[in-house]
Amino acid sequence: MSEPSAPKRRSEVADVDRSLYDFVKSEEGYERFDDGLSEEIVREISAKKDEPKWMLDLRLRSLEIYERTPMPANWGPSIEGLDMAHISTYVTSGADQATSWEDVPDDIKDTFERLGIPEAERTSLAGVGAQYDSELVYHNMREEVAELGVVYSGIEEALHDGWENVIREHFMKLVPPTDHKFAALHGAVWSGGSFVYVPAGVTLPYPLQSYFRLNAAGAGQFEHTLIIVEPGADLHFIEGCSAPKYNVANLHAGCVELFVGKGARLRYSTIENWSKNMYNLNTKRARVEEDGAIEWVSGSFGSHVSYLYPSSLLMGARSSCEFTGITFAGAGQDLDTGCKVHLAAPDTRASVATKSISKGGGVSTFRSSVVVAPKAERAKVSVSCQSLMLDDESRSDTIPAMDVRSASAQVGHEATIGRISDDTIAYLMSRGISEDEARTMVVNGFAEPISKELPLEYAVEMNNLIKLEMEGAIG
Amino acid sequence: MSAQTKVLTGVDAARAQTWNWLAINETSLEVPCVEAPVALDLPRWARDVRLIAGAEAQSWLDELSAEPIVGVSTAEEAHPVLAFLGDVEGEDLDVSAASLLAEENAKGDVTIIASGAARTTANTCRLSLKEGAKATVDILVARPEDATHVQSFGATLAEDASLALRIWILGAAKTTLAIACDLEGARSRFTSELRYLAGSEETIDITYDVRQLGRGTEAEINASGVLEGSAEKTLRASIDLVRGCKGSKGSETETVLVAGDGVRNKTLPVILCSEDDVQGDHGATIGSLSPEQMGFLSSRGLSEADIVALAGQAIIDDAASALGDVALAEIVGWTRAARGPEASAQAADAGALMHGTLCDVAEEEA
Amino acid sequence: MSDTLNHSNALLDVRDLSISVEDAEILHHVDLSVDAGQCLVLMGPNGAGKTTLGHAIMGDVAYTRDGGTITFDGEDLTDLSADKRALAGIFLSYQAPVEIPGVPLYSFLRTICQKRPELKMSARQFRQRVRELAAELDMDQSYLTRELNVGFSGGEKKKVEMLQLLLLQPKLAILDETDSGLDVDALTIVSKGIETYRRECKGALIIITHNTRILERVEVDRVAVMVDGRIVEHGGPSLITDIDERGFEAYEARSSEEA
Repeated sequence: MSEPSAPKRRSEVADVDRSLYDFVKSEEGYERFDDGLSEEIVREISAKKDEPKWMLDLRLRSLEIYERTPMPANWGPSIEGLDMAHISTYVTSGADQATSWEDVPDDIKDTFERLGIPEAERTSLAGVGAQYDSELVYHNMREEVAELGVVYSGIEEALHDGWENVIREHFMKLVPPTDHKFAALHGAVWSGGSFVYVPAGVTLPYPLQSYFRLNAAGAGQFEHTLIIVEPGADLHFIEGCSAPKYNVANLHAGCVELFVGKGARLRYSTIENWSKNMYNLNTKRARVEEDGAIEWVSGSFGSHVSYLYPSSLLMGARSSCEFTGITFAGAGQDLDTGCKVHLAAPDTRASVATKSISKGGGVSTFRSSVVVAPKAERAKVSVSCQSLMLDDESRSDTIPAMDVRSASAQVGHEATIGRISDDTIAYLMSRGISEDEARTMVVNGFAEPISKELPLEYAVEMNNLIKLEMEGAIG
Repeated sequence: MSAQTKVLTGVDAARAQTWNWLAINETSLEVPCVEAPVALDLPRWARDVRLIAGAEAQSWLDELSAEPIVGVSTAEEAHPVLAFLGDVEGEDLDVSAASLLAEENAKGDVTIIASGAARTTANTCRLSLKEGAKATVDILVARPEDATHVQSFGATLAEDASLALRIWILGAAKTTLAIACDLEGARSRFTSELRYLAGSEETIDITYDVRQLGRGTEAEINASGVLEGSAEKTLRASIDLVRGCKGSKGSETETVLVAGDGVRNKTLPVILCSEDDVQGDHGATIGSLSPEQMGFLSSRGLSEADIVALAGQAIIDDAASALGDVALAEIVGWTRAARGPEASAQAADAGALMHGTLCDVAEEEA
Repeated sequence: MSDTLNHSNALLDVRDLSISVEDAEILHHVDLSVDAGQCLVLMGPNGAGKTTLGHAIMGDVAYTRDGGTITFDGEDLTDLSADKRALAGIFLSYQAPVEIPGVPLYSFLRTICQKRPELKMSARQFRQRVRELAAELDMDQSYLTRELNVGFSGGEKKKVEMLQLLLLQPKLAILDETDSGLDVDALTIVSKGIETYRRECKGALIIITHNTRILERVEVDRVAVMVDGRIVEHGGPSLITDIDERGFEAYEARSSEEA
């Protein structure tokens, strides 16, 4: 990089708080289960949560499936660095779940304050859930939203609070433990996560947000999010996640199950910024009924290894799916992300637009599947993915699979890979912009179609993350 | 069939694989057992050509390739290779190997016509193009509806070499094609046009695996086809822009007309990239024609059924006009058997249009 | 007004036609007729609905009929699909001809001819005919093996439309902005094609245009002016010079009064 521009660059990024995500709080006094995985540990987690027997049975069956299921040998990033024998599946501060930030222990409250969660709650959210390691420490919703009949609580609380039948009917039905190895692991050791129920016809005025923070080193986070949006209802749900960086592996194997009723709409936004020692093997799936719509907005910035493919099952006629995603793979990252769409009914529509950026030796893989079943008459699908290579030591692969079995369907796909053109940089520099600034500007522009889908404060966060990443490339 | 058969697995596997539940990563193939395996004797340059049909399939092919054709073209003297497969009376299995070395600035042509009645035809084609060599390879698969064709193809290109690979698949119960191409030399260039037509119960399985290694190389794969009835087709096309191939361009396109309610079309278009100074792109259009296309064609007097028939006929006509000088009789004969006299007359006509002097077949059909 | 202009022995007789596109009504109660062999020029400002009328006569499914009838050569076409109307003798030259990947021009031409019993000819005759027409339109033989309209320039696409017009010899040809985007040479060739059609096929023409250049070489019988989805004026060829000098403003003013 050219010398003269260096000081300018520093002043440009000075407003980004590098300690925003990367700070550690003491674990003193915490309850931490032994590392590794055993039937005993699974029973202990279940006992601690005073669960119904069917849930314990599901956990034990999942454990058995986990043990006999191999990782796919023929595709996906290596998870060799992840040794389950050195992962604690359950860590808790022991704090009770609070409905007021005043009641959250200082250390933890400070964490979420630094992440801006209480502030966001005051200004722009209808409700917030905050999970710290394995347990929720805070859950609250605005009164006027509760009055609409909306339920937003910890999933374990909902289980003890009259929602057992509903949860039993939906829990791990979209993502069965047999889905893949880490879905099985999730089934065995899941803990925490949110339950949302939006009654028919109700539109939430503001989004709900759950934030997941994994503070403990060498631990796993396995939260379960279950959302039911009844016919004609409308919800925007935001999920945030982060963790401080350690030099031992951490694991995130959450599970998200979304049920979108007839004519309902659900937007599910995620900005994921796990630290770069994280193995993120998360599973997200939505089932959409007639005229319903699922909209995914997904930003993947963090983690060492990710396997993440939110999937949409379009089961009802005229149901639709929109997926907008961005992945930024920097040094030491191997991010295998994308989406799956299954169109199983007439006049269903899917539109997928993704961007990926690779830099500093990072590996970004876009992986997708689009299956158009014979019943999906007149289905329309468009997939567009663009990849940007920022240097010649990184990697960017595009692996989209399509399986079309409907004669009246129309499926279009386009993908491009390239770098920032010299002309663009030269043009911007001719207007007095430094090369580094110009590159950051172009990358932000590249990400713009995604950031405009996010609520403003998250778009700002994403731009900051890009700046941080671009900065990292130079430093 | 009286001869014993065996099932080859791991055939036509994609290098970059994906979810196994999609059943798209590779295929399997039932073939006659090898009774008396031969040791395939090839020159070094041919052995060095990378092939991707899979270990089991390639050794089956090699063990049956009793009389390999080996050609060497020089700048002074071209050595075209022309192979007709499956048309030996009474032979139900025809497996061959053809290798061609095109020396510096030489021109090399290979034509493989799989049109005979034998139940199983198979061919391995190895191509090595030295600096500045230019080659055209044409492959036609026009087989009866109960036949199988297995094709393995590999090419290595040195600096400034160029290869045009044209393939027409008109029919066969099962066709597998495994195409590897290594663009090793700077500015080497690979283009491939693939046209396929698959009717009821027919299966086509194709893998392209192109590696761009040299600087300033170009690769372009254009595939289009029509799937009728309950045809099944899989196309895996990988372009690998390998670190160091600065200034290279790779592109893949596919247009598939799904024209039957039982059709299954699988496409896995992969771009692998570990170099920044490159351009890679891919586009696919799968399914029915757009409303605009349907509207335009119907304004010219075509019903929906006419339009589907036209799309299929177009592939036959394209083969006839391109291969009219070597295989018009084979194309017309296949068309008459598979699609009736009107279609074969039109194919003959398309061939005659481009090859005015070779009108015998056309006159006969008319 | 319509009484005087619609007559039962017309080749094309459009009555009270209303058309909408995506729920917006574009044409309102249009009456128009063309006699056999007659040349009608349909003029009007951009967005007046001229292209819509052309596509509606052709039976394009993107245009929904809200009312009215279309009679052609004594037959009620109102409920017929586009391909049936084409076989009855109507040809629409598209303003933007559609690309059809994978279909060589030659296969396409042969197929559309085979659909018309009156044009059945031997393969040799057909080849001969196509070669003649291609030469007349200054098109290279190599076009015939190229995919239909794929990668063709604007001028090439229009020539291919002319080639089809001359090959199919329809009773009525609707030329939708055939002159738009053409350079001088291409325009000359296309105009010659139109002359040939008039001379050899004795076919009727509806020329949709807002540019009078293309009309210099064609003998015009009648002119209709369309504004805001309505025919606001009928007249003789003199209207063309009039519009050339004064534009559509007067008609637009009249249209807004009527509406």
